[in-house]
Amino acid sequence: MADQTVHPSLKPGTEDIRFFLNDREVVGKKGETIITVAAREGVYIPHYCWHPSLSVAGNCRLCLVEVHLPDPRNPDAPAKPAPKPVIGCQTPISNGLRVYTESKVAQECQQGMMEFLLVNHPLDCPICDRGGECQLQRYSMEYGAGHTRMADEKRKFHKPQADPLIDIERNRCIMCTRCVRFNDEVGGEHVMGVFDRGEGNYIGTFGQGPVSNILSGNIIDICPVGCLTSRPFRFKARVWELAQTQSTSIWDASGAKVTHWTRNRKLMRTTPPSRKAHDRYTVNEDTEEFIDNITRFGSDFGLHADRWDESRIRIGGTLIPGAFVEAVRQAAGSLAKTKVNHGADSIAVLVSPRATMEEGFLAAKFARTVIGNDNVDWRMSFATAASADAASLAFQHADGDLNDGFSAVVLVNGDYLHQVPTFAMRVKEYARLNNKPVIMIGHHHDAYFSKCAGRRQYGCRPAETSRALELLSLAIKGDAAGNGELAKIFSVAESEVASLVDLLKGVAGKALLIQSLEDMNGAYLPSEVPAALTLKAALGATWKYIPVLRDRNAFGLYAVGAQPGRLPGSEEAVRKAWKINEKAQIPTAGGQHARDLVAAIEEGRIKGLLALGADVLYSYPDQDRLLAALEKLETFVVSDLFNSEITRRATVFFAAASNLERDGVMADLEGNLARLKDVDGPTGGARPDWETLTGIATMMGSTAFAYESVEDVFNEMIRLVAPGFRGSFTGLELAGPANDHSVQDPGGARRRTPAYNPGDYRVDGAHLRWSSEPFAGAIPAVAAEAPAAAGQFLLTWGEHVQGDDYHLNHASIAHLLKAKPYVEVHPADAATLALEDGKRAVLTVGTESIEVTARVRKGPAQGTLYFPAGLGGLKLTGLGESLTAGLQPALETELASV
Amino acid sequence: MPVVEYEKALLPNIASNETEWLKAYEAGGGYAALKRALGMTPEELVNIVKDSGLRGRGGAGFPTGMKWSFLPKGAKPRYLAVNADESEPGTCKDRPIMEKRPHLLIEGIVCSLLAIESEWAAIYIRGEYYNAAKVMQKAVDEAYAAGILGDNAMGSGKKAHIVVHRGAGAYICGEETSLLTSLEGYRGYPKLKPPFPAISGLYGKPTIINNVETLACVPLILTRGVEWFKSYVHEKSTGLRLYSVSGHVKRPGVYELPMTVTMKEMIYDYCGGIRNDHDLKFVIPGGSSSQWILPNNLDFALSVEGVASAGSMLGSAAIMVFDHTVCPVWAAVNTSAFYRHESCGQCTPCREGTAWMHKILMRIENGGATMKDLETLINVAGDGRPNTGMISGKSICALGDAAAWPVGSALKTFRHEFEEHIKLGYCPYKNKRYWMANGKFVNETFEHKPTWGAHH
Ligand SMILES: Cc1cc2nc3c(=O)[nH]c(=O)nc-3n(C[C@H](O)[C@H](O)[C@H](O)COP(=O)(O)O)c2cc1C
Ligand code: SF4
Ligand code: SF4
Ligand code: SF4
Ligand code: FES
Repeated sequence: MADQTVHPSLKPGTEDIRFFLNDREVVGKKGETIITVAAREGVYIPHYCWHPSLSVAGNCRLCLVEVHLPDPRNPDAPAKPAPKPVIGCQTPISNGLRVYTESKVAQECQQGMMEFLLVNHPLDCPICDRGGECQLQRYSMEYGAGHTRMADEKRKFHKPQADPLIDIERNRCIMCTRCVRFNDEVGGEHVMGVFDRGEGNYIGTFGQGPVSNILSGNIIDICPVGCLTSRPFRFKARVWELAQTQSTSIWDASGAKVTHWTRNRKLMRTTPPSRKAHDRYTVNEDTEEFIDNITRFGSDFGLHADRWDESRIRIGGTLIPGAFVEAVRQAAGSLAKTKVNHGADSIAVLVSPRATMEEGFLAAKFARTVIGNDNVDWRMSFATAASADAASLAFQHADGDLNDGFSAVVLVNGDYLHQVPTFAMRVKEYARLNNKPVIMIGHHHDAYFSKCAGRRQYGCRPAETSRALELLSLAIKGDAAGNGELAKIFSVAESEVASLVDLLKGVAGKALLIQSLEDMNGAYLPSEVPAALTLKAALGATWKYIPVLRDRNAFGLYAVGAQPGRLPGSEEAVRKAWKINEKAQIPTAGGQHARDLVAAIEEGRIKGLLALGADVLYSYPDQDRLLAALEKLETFVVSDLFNSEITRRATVFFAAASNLERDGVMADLEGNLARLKDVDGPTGGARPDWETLTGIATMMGSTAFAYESVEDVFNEMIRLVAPGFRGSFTGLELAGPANDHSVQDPGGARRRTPAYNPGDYRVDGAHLRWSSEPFAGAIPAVAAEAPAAAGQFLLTWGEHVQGDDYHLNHASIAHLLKAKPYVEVHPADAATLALEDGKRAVLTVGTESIEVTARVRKGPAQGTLYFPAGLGGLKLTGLGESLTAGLQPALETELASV
Repeated sequence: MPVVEYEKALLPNIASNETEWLKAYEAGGGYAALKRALGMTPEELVNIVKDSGLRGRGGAGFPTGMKWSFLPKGAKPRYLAVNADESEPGTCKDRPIMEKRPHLLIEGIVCSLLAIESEWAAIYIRGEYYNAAKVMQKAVDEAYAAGILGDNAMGSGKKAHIVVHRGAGAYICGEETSLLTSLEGYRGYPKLKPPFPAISGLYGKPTIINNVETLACVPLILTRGVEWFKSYVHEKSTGLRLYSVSGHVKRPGVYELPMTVTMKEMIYDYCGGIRNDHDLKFVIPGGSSSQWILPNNLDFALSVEGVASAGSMLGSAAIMVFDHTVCPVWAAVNTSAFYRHESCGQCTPCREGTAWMHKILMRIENGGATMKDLETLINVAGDGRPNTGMISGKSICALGDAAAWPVGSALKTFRHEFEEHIKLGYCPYKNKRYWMANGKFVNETFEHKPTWGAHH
């Protein structure tokens, strides 16, 4: 389909336009369309093809309205009816225009289009999965004639299934092309199209392949009818018999909001948040709150057969199920014993990066007050302790958000779409629709941004990124001496560097510097973060900084001090809140970094471990070494969902509450809070971690853990973390059918423009931001990387949300959600290897080889390969060192001819 | 009445095969217009075309000079798209221009490029016109070799390039905006207007779309003068016009005539009357999209205004004549089958409406329809006038209107025959009835004399 992006002349301006909407005088902005102004004014114009996030297609013709035009030569004469109706979704408003949305002409059009859409429609709502939340059904009632005049045979289409997640039932399609446009524009992938012509038109994917992008599930929601439905969900339930719980994604650090739809506590589906529309809570087909496929289809891992929902105590060699209180007593006893025998410093506390802020807060408090040390951490996947600390430095300086857009964005490294999908989507869509410069610097550039016209790419080798950022800061401050070196690093002409500097210097208004902390487990962060912060300082105060980590609650855990050397608030406030007397020390130094925990256990320095979530341990790259270390622990208390290699080594196991069974808040990349909400409490003998910790602490003699609910924990926590917070725990909940605080439901109450505005959820004072001081520290030098052997490439990598993940591995359709392994190769390297885009190749790292798809693109720098870690089961264990890899085109198998 | 002979300017001596050669064209005074145009400013050229009163020959009859002047000042690049998709049923006038006088078209294109200050033109040729595309490509190659086209056209220092592009057999690609989407390599879907192509057309750049015959008129205006062109005039329609006459006339063909000629003269004088001296049943004056005209209403000039006064439109000037053996219901079925097949399917009313109309018409023709179906059909198709019914005026492009108008006008002009079909349950012209039995079509033949149109 043609690139029918919104014509520039349709972009709203600032000039006021006065016109009449159903005889009422209304003011809009020049360039706004009738449908947007009408929606704002509370006048609903029926529509199918128009969607606030997509370009205007104007094909359904449901939004036809009657207009009367003023005579330009004689403005006093009454406006004359136009010869034909116009579509509201495309027609801009103009001075003196009279629009009638409910006149006889408009009604005839609506009735006519509804009749046309129904002539070939199966009309079997009772057996259609969309029944009850179908826009066609609803409009038939509201705008249709109520009877049929169609006496001929209806058209029927074939129904091949191309996608494992999305079902296509073409007979129900109304050809609005929302799905096609969504994939083209938002998903960034031209995978769907219209085939055949005329009444034979149908929707399909090219080559009958799947709709593979990570945002594809959203076409299920924005399809107005039952053509695109969720394969895992379809025919499992009727929407009106499901309970809704408003919650947040535990995968996506962008902070996506969701609704979990359950029946008898069982999760049936997860969707973007349901909003009050048409007098009930539903996933509005005009939703812009898109979610990624992992959040949508992977949230049911708590239902896995390996779930242990009773506490267990090791007796002899086996873990015997026991009562929760018994387990608490046992855990408290062994932790106390280890503390007595080996000293307080022999015990460490670990927290899952997907823990809520309350859980992290209690873990921090538990370590500091009950155990009496600084050994609490959540950052086990980092390459080195220094990388983890660099990430913390980044958080300390984070001050950016996407509210109200930006005038330019610099992206340092990163595979954003596959790490923080909806955040990447919002950045890309804003840049693409508003034609803002997107400057990509580093060894990896996210191909998702390739549709942004203002894109500029500056590739370099991983060890050079920090130097490049440093030179760029100098150039911006007027010192062009390093421009030659910078040009060499980027392999571009010096004039190109000068033009980049001019571009950056010329940016006016709020701009964003976004840095990925994910690449190569943060191996280069110790110099990259200071370098990026130096660049930010050079660029000036209008530049805001957003560090990106895939871990869902990284910001929240940093905020609550669940890591060495950091408290949830000022020492004085913490002392008061935790009832620690003036003389006692609060340990905030010398804490055990999670990254070095395994070595510490091996060396016998750590004897006892309390882990809230086994996933934090699973994020350690060398699992064999980890498991062997766990065997050496005297006390290993773990609170988790599953029977796994890790939990089987526990001395005490607590059955934790899953993402659907517990309550709390999480922070996203932009520092906004969102409420994770339980559907109906934990199953079986499971307990949320706040209860477990409260129990153990109290049993160990603490009086400072007198919580009766998670809300008590929240109240104590938020007063320390965000003293300015004026809301409440319940106030952070999204409005839902069970809990309708209309005041807290901005997204439902007013329609937003396509510039996504997640700040709509921001609650006063709950925005986590710390430092506004410009960074002035030094940038440590980076050791030169060892040259790769002939025929070898330097391997770079980053995590991928669709890869190996403790929780995702337990999702019911995990096998459908995992991405197929691929490597990104620079075009010049691909040419020497005679590799073409999309061709199979063999990637060899050390002694391990896997077959991958080659993606030829300018993302990785020449001489390097980018591999999304965790895909295809290839383990990258050599953290911290530079890895090299071989790549060969895969041999054509002879099997085909056999 | 004696047949008045007029000069042939667009298609003289088309029997001679030689006209496709550059030499022959130049020997006949070819490219004199271009030489003259090179000495003029773009404004002068546009003004000459404006003064001549030339109106588009593609269908809509829009004044060409005015269209050219809509281009935004200074916006470059800009393009010229030549509409050679000629797919309107009954139309076959652009083909002889391309096959027999390709250099006339090339000269017209280059003169127009100069007028609109563009450097690139694309000729979008109907997929089925294999020969026309071949001849055009050859002629374009000749023009490049002779330096008429290229980076230095006729030594003027100006660029003039022509790309010959073949369509893939879709009527809708003759609609100006879908011609552009198709040229860009996308599905031939019409675009929403505004913005109009003159503002944002091919690749988002200002673009002018003109019909082959329109552009072929431009060199004639330049060489013979505005006054000559305007000497053939009826109301606001100037110049000579190519009429494609088909159907039940004795001498069908392409006629080059001034627009003062009336429909009656055309049928009975120029085309020799109805075959076998049958009775005339109805005439379609401007391609299948136009409204039908009855034999009692033939005294109108074949100009834009003349045909409009008779309640139809001149369109592409394709006159189709039907004698009394033709069943109007069947003709309506046939017409709507065309639009059902050619609708691009982008917008609801046309995609669903064209198919539905055809399905109902088939039942009226073949049996199984009720009077209620007739009411539904009238409701859907309207009465043949613009913006009536459920399709016309509500679709993205004019194909929707073009599909509804003929059906609406057929229903209005021959309603009694439609009713008769329904009452009988079969088509009296065919004396046949199709009906379903055990899932198969059975067709039975009946003895029946139609109550109308029986001539003998
Ligand atoms: C469905 C449809 C089909 C058309 N087909 C043709 C065609 O085949 N050739 C043509 O010249 N114009 C065709 N037109 C008209 C064009 O849209 C356009 O008006 C014309 O090319 C403009 O050129 P002119 O101003 O020189 O007539 C068609 C219009 C419609 C709505
Ligand atoms: S798509 Fe909607 S109208 Fe159609 S059958 Fe399903 S529920 Fe009914
Ligand atoms: S599948 Fe759904 S979204 Fe896509 S065109 Fe059809 S109705 Fe629209
Ligand atoms: S009117 Fe018909 S041909 Fe034109 S855009 Fe609509 S469906 Fe396509
Ligand atoms: S919403 Fe306007 S045409 Fe579909």
